Amino acid sequence: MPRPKRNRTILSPPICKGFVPIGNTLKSDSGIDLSLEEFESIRLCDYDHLNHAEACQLMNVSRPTFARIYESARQKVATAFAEGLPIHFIGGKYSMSENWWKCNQCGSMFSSLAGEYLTKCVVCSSTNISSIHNNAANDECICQSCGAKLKHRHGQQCRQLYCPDCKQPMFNRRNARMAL
Amino acid sequence: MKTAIASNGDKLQAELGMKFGRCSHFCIFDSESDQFYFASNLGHNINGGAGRLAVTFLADNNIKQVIAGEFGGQVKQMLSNSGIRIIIYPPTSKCIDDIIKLLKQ
Ligand SMILES: [Zn+2]
Ligand SMILES: [Zn+2]
Ligand SMILES: [Zn+2]
Repeated sequence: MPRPKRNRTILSPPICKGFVPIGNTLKSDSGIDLSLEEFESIRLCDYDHLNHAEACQLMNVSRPTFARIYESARQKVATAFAEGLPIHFIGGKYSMSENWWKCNQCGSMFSSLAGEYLTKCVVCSSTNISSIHNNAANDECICQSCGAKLKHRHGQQCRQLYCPDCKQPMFNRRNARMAL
Repeated sequence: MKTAIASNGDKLQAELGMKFGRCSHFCIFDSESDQFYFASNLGHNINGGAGRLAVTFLADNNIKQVIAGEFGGQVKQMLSNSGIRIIIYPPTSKCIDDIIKLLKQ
């Protein structure tokens, strides 16, 4: 029997889509992709100063798995620093512990309370808010040029689908760069 | 509804606290009475458990949402277990007064 898949958890989205090096004018499409689990592992260990035992609990993974994610994250960040490469936050195999929203007016990100459906920003009351990818993120194909989404069909390659609006091939949301 | 705003000081001109648990004060704004006051953050200078102390303070005072620049991982979990909304505000030059004005809109 296959082992049941555990949902890796990240507690909240990153506040930006990634980083660019200062003064490096190399080809702009190069860079390092850091998955959100990798991002979260560094945030928990090096920003929150948690030890691995605490961090792996919050992420809902085993200790060896956590250690692997963290090691890979550090390797990537080190490579980006040393080689002057941009870092892109991308999806990954994770779910978020809560539903999160972002206000496009004031820039704040907020969680919704149990059972609550939000229609406006809880800080500035703007109605220009968007839901940040939720647990269904892996089940969507997304167009990287216009952001259009289609439901992912199991067994079908995302790239065989074309965006209804701009006719570009679709990507799996999991592999798409963070649409913050 | 009561909102706590992490603050680096006890004046309206103070900056928004960038890390929950490490800020010196919380500004508590009540949208029903339109009143606010500053409370000092007991965990400001202690080494461990600052986050837990601050979450308990918010829960005891019936606060429903809290604004700061970032929250620790364990704090996020404690806040959501206590039913308190987490609001992450982007790095800003806004002061507490500006945030209260936004909340009043
Ligand atoms: Zn807003
Ligand atoms: Zn498109
Ligand atoms: Zn797909």
